[in-house]
Amino acid sequence: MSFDLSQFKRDLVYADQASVAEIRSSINDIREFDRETESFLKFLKTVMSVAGLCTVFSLCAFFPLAVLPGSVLVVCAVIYFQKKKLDLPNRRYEFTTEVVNALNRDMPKDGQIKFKMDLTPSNGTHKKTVSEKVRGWDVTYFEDPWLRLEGRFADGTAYDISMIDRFQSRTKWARSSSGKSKRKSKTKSATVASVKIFPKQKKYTNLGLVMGQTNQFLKLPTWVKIKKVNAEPDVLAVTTITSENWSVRRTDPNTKFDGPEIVYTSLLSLYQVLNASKSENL
Amino acid sequence: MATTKPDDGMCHETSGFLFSHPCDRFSVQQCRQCQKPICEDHGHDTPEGVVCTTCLKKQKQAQRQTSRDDQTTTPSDYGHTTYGNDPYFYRDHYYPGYGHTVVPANAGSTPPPIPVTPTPDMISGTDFDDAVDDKRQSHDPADFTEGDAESLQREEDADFESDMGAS
Repeated sequence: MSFDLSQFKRDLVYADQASVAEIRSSINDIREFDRETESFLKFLKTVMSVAGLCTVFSLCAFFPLAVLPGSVLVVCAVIYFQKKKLDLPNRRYEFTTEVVNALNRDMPKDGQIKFKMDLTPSNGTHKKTVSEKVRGWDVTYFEDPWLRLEGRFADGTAYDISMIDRFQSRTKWARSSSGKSKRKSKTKSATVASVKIFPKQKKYTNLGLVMGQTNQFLKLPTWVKIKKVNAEPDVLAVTTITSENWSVRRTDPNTKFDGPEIVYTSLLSLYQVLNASKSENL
Repeated sequence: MATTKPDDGMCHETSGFLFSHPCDRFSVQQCRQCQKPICEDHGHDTPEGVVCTTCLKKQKQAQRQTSRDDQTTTPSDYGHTTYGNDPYFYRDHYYPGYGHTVVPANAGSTPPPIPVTPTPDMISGTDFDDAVDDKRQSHDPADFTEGDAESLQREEDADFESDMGAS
């Protein structure tokens, strides 16, 4: 199934089973589309600023003159807010590119990845899980599974990687000491990464002997917390969570929190268990 | 050192991200150091020319050894570099000794007590949230963003009540 950019522009979700080359090419199209959107939004912002200034000056000088720049301002604002919905979260597709490239190093040449990347905002209505009132705050919880990658490495081990953003939004009306009412709002988010591998039992016959030691092989970044580890003969899995505002080091070299590092280290840790099961010391 | 394998048009490098394996891609260049035919992914640009992953790893290892001997290296020298971000080098940077595991003597028997984190109950697949809940109790009530990823699960979190700083 080839990538359909016009379809993607409608729903902002890319789901496919494709080779790494095809996925890279599709993400390049998405990146290009996002760059165009970002530069158009930047242009609209400039036009709105100029139109806004002109409107203010016209209002001071001669009121009817303000009609033209005022109209431009309104039209641009409407287009801006419509287009803003298409401004994609860069870190998601950059993260995916990095992880897919890394997976490709150990995949067979004709290997394919079952792939779903959701670039719609985390606070979309369909991602809402629960709304409740917590001590005066209206709290809404969102769960956004934005990436799922499934495939197989050259050694026959299958993998299943998923990324979920958890988002929480709280609002409340508060009255200050001067009697003014003000709407307060807060948000917080965290990213949950789940990495599972399904090793071929014939290839790793001694896995059962080292499974109990899985925790000793986990070496993950200090800025993630381990949420769950699952070690069974047919599946090794680690789930982590981070509330740090991670980025992708290739596009943001100064970041302390390189998102793909979570997946790299999780995979390396789980594979270290497999390596141990093949050790001669057993 | 010249390669001994015949040139069959394939890449002769075996380095991988997670494990070593024969590369099934076509060679498009030669390593400047060992003359091995290599694919695009296994070739790395260096000031001396394109070298294969294995040669570059050896080069980097030697450099690190020299730096350690000179006692001039700071911890950041072992952090991420241009090559460190490449998946082929990631395991060497992040996971020294990767793939050459010394299995604990009691492997296959009862797991030993685990030092700090992760906790023993993780191995059976128990959700780690229980352990995190204890930490939650000691949270600064005014703290909104720091280390409270786990509180994104639904809980009676009263932190917001007293914190009206942001809007």
